[in-house]
Amino acid sequence: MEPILFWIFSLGMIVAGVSVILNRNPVAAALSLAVTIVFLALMFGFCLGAWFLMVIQVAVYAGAVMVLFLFIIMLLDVKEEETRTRSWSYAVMGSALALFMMCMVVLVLRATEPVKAAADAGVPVDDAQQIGTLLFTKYLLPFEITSVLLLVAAIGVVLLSLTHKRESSS
Amino acid sequence: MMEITLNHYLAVSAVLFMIGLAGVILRRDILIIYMSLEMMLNAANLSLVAFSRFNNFVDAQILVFFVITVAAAEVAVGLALIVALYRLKRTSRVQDITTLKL
Repeated sequence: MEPILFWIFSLGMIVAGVSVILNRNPVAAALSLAVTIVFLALMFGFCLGAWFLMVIQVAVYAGAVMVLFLFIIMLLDVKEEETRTRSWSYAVMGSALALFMMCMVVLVLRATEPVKAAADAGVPVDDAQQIGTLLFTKYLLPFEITSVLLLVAAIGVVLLSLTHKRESSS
Repeated sequence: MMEITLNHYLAVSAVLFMIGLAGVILRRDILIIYMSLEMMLNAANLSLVAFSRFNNFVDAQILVFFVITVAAAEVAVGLALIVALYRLKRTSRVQDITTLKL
């Protein structure tokens, strides 16, 4: 585990994350979110050794979810916020709340003993095999329920997008 | 260069979560709010993976796997809702959606 990699990934993640919420252009915000997610995936893989989750993160988030977001932005033709419509009270409140909670987290982290990496940290682990074994033995029922959830979501999306058509035809 | 401990990962995760929270509060576009929500989910995932690595406990990564799955389903349904809302109201800004306001 290289410390320099951790700093690069976390810095890139935070910069891209701030750019998500400060960008006026929705497409630029979506691309910044994609950068955040890719950096997070790299951190999963190279710093934490979770290679399987790195692949899943890139495939599902940077692939599917971001394409969905960009597709919806294109479909709705969302414009940039031309005028400065955000009110200062919301900006102050949001930043203050975030800073307050950040301070709480820092206080808690400073009070706790730093946990060192496990003894075998850095040793390549066969995490895909371990996750697969667990998924199909110990967590078989949640895994199957997830498939039902995805089916329900797919049917729900189809119904939601059909409603308008039915109303306009009748 | 100092050694990276679990607390570093938790701090980065907290920063990412707070960025998402601030985005939810101060942005007015419903799509950007949705992106910030995704960022908060990702921050939680990061802390789960860090805990999993530092405790040698692979089960936490299964939870991250499920979180990613549920988030994907949630994004699909949520964006369909946003599209339906847009058809009804012709807007994607939260201050224009005031049906429930007295």
